[in-house]
Amino acid sequence: MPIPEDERRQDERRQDERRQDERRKDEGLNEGRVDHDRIHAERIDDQSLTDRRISDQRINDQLIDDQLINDQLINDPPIDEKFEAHLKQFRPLAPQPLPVDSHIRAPRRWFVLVACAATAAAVVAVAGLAFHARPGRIAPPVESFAITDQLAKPQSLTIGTANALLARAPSFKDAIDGIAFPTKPAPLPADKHSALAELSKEKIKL
Amino acid sequence: MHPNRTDAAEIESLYRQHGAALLLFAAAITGEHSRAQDALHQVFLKLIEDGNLRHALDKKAYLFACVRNAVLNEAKVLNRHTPLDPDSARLTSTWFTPPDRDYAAEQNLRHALAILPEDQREVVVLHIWGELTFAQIADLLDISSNTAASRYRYALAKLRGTMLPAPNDKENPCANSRG
Repeated sequence: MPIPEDERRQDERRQDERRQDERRKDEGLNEGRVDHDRIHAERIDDQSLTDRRISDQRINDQLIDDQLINDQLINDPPIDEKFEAHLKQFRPLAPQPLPVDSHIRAPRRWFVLVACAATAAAVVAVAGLAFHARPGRIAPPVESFAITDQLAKPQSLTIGTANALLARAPSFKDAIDGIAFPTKPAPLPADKHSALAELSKEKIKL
Repeated sequence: MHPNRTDAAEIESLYRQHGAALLLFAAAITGEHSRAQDALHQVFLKLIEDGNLRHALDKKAYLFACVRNAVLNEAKVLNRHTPLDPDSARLTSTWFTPPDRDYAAEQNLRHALAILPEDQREVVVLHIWGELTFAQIADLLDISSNTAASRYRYALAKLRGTMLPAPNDKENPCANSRG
């Protein structure tokens, strides 16, 4: 038969009062032991004291739990341990992952990427400087250089060829002269025409 | 104050460790899984953002208290503190991973929890799935340990009565719920 809610609450209140009276009696009896514990506790440092208190508290809580479970009162229904175990088989669903992952780790990833990019840029810059700073590249032996051959080749001027000329020329002036005054423009094959020449033939009416 | 990496890592570890029980506890109060999830995220993000748990002696109990406060505050702000509706609890998403994939039993348990009085539902969830002692529950809910234990007994009896209505079915407590 179900017990009305009011009656249950009154019963709870009565039980609380009775247990509080008993606890007060126990505290009075154990007063001497509490003092001894306090003197002992003052000798150890704060952290270990806190840890010990937490540990003691947990043990004490567990003991109280066991006692409360065993100490069934008149109107309280018994605890069905089998049913309790059955309920524990239902595992609560795991929550969704915290959105903190991107929140916290994103700046770190950004920092790592920037650091990697900066390192790579520094390595490239140092390599470039070292490459250009080699004495052999600035002033190669004159005997091995044949600028006239380069300029005589029938090819148009590009950045690549200009760079090559700059690298191989004995001096900057020679390189510029070589670029500025090529011997001849590169002749086109007979079956091919220059795009500029073809475009110039067109008559555009405005 | 911004927490250092150790604090954040510790809080994330606590989330992984107790998140499921905390989520269930929040869902048992709100009745809505999504609201419970929001409250849980809110608590942990706040902890990571500007707080740490060093001052909390009992971290687990403290987390349950935080989640409870977050849920109740949110309900107060939205003026949505209504009793849990058993029918809506049936319809909302699942709360548990049932043994043997018995989702009928899971729904049965959810319904049985929903029809419990709120104070008993909190205690039973905290003790069975939160694995808090009655002393911890007493501190959390601001009641005596005896009251917590008494509420637990009543809640368990009611759950049993709801989930196992057949009076002669004493041999196998799971028979009805698995059917």
